[in-house]
Amino acid sequence: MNGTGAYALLALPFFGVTAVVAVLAGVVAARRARAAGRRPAVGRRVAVLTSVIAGIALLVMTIVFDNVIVTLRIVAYDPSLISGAKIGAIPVEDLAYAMAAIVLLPSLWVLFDRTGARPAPDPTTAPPEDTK
Amino acid sequence: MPGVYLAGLVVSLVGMTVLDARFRLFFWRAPWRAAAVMVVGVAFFMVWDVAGVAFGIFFIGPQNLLTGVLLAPEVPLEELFFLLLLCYSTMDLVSFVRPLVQRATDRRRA
Repeated sequence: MNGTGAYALLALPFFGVTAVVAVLAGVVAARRARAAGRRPAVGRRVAVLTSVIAGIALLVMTIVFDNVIVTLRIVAYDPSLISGAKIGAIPVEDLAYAMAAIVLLPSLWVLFDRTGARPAPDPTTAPPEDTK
Repeated sequence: MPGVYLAGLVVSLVGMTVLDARFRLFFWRAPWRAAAVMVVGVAFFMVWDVAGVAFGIFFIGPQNLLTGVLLAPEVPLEELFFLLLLCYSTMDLVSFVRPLVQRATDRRRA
């Protein structure tokens, strides 16, 4: 793999795997929601919104952290294999890890749920106290 | 000073663990499920790293902050800890944000 697109292209197969796992998790979560008598659309909305909000936070943390390690020269890049677009000291391509993580890992969390279709309440989603 | 980066990563991981324990986010919610996510997640990103190194895209810079222990050529021991931190941070964040989003959604639909 050669040229300035190399680092960006490298992300593609990993984004592909991530997308497949995310779709699988979506299908499984929808099936569980239906079995528990909940509307799948609501759960999907919560999941997507959560990933967007947590993803923005993760990207900010990544930009700070990576700038530190690149500036300290813990990691270095071949300038002929990156696009050259940078955020501070880091190549923009560095953000691909965080983008994959915020989609892949919560999807795995859903897929690894062995509590089955039982309508067990999610421990983090305690019923809202202010319900009238 | 060799080992500084590793020390920083370990301190950060301890921080993530404290947050996890305090808010019951990840391992404190479902330990085996969390462990499975970490193992698969770290393995996934490690493959990505090794591929990047194999293509010569990134490598260890001229520094004096790593322990010098290598897991593979151009893959320092520290990278394992970095990937653990990336995965743990991601899941702590998601677990923290999700109930907030859920509550906001419930309130709107109520």
